[in-house]
Amino acid sequence: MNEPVLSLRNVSKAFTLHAQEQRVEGCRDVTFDLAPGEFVGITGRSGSGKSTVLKLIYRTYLPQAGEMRYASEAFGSIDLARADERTVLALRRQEIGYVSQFLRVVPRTTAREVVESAMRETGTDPSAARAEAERLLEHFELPKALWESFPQTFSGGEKLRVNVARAMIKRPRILLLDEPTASLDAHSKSKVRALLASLKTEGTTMLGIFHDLAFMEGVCDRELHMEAGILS
Amino acid sequence: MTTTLPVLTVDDLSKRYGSGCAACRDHAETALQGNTCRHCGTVHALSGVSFEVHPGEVLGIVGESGSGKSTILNCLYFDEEPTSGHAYLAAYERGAADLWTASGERRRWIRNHLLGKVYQNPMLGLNMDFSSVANIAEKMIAANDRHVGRMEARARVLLEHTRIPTHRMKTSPRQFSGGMQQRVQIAKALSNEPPILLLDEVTTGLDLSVQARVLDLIKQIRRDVGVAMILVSHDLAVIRMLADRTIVMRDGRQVEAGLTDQIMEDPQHPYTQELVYSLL
Repeated sequence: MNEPVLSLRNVSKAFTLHAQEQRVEGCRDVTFDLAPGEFVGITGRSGSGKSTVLKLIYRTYLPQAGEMRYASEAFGSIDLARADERTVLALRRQEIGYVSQFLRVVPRTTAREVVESAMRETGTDPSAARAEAERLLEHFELPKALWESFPQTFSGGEKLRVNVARAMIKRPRILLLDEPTASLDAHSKSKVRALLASLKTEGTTMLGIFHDLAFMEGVCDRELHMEAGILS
Repeated sequence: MTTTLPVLTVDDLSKRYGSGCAACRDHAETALQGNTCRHCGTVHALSGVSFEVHPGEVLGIVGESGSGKSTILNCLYFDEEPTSGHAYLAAYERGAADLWTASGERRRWIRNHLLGKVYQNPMLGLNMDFSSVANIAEKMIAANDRHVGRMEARARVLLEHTRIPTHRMKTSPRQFSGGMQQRVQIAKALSNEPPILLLDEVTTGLDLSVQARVLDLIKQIRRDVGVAMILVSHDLAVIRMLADRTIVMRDGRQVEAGLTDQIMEDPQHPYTQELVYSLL
C-alpha cells in the first residue's frame, strides 16, 4: 500500500466564545489516513464536526491538539497543524484546494478572470492561464455567454462550476469538498458527480462532505462517519 | 519552511504623543485607559508592533478608528517620527539598515524610490494644481527620472492601467470623482515600481460600485505586478477579499495575527471575536 498523502492523528478542536463564556466542541481525537488518489466521503448530521475537519486541514481553523501529517511535493513531510502561515499559503496556492458551496469573489470580476487568476497565482503566464481557464469552463459546461459576466448573478449550479474550476485549475494534489452539492438540483448534481469521477481518474486525492448519501455512494472509495465530533 | 527575505520587517514599533510618565512607561496595563495614560494624558498610539511582509503578499491591518493602524503607515512613509522601533526594507542596504535612523536625505530617497503610498484623503496624496499626468511625473522626477517623453509615456500607461480615460489625463484630479482620484493616487504610487505599496483606507467613503472598482484594481495590480502591500482598513469585508494575512489592532497593540480566513472564521481573541461577529 502507498504511503498516505495525509494522516490525521488525534486531531481535536474546541471553540471558545468569550462573550458567551461558552466552549463549543468541534471534533475530538480524529484519526484517519488518506491514500494517494483515494476519494473519501465524510457523512454525519449537521453539527457533527464534518466541516470542522476540512477547515482544520485547510487551516481556516487552528487545531488545538493532534498531528496532520501531509506529504508535500514542495516541502516534504510536514505537520499542517504546526506549519507556519507562509507555508500554508504556499500549499493553498499549489497543492491543496478547497471548494465550498459558496463562491466568494471580488465584485466585478468575470467568471473567466476568477478561474484564470487562480492559475496566475501559481506563476503561470497570462496566455496559458487564460487558455486553461477557458478549457475548464468549457469542460464544466458553463455557457460561453456567462464567461465574461460576474458570478454574483449566476445560479447555484453555475457558481459551483466556477468554484470547482477555480480550485481545479491549479491541479491540486488534495481537494477538500465542503458540501459542494448542497444547493444544487438533480441535473447539476449529476454533472458535479461526473466531474468528480473524472478528477478521480486523473489521480486527485479527495476528501468530501455531501448531504446526499445516495449521491456519494459509487463515487467515494469509502466513507467516514462522524457523530458529535467523533469519527466512528 | 519558505526562506525568501521579507520585503519589509517592522520590529517593536512604538509611537507616543506626549512625554509619558513613570506610571504609563512601566505599568502600561494599569495606567492606560484605552491608549491614553490616566496620569499624564500621554497617548500611546502604537505599543510594540512587529510584523513582516513577504514578496507579493498582501498584509491586512484591521481595527477601529484610533487603533493605530494608520500611524503604522505614517511612520513607514516618514510622515510621522516613531518614538522607538526599527524597520528594514530588503531593497534598502539589503535589509541591514534601519530606515528610522536614516538621514532626512536618505529618507526622501527611500520614499521616492522604494515606497508608494495611497492616502485615504486624496488631497494628501495628490497635487490638485497639477494634471494627473504631472502628478505621476512629479513622483518620477523625485526618483531622478528627468526624461519628459519617457515620463509622459509611463504616466499614460499607468493611468490607462488604472482606467483613467485618455481624454482626462491632462485634467487636474480636483475635477475627478473620489474613485477616480484614488485610481490616480494608485497610478502615482506605482510609478517608481516600489517593492511595497502602503494603502490607507483606500475605499473608505466611496460608493459601493466605485469601491468594487478600486478593489478590483488592487487585485489586478497584485496579480500583474506582484508588488507586496500593506492594506489598512476598518472594513473587514475589504480585508477578507484582499489580504493573505491579517493583523488585528486595538489601542495601539496587536491583539491577534493570522491567516485572514482564520481570523474571520476562528478568531481567538475576545476583541477579534467581537469585531468579526458584528460583521453583517
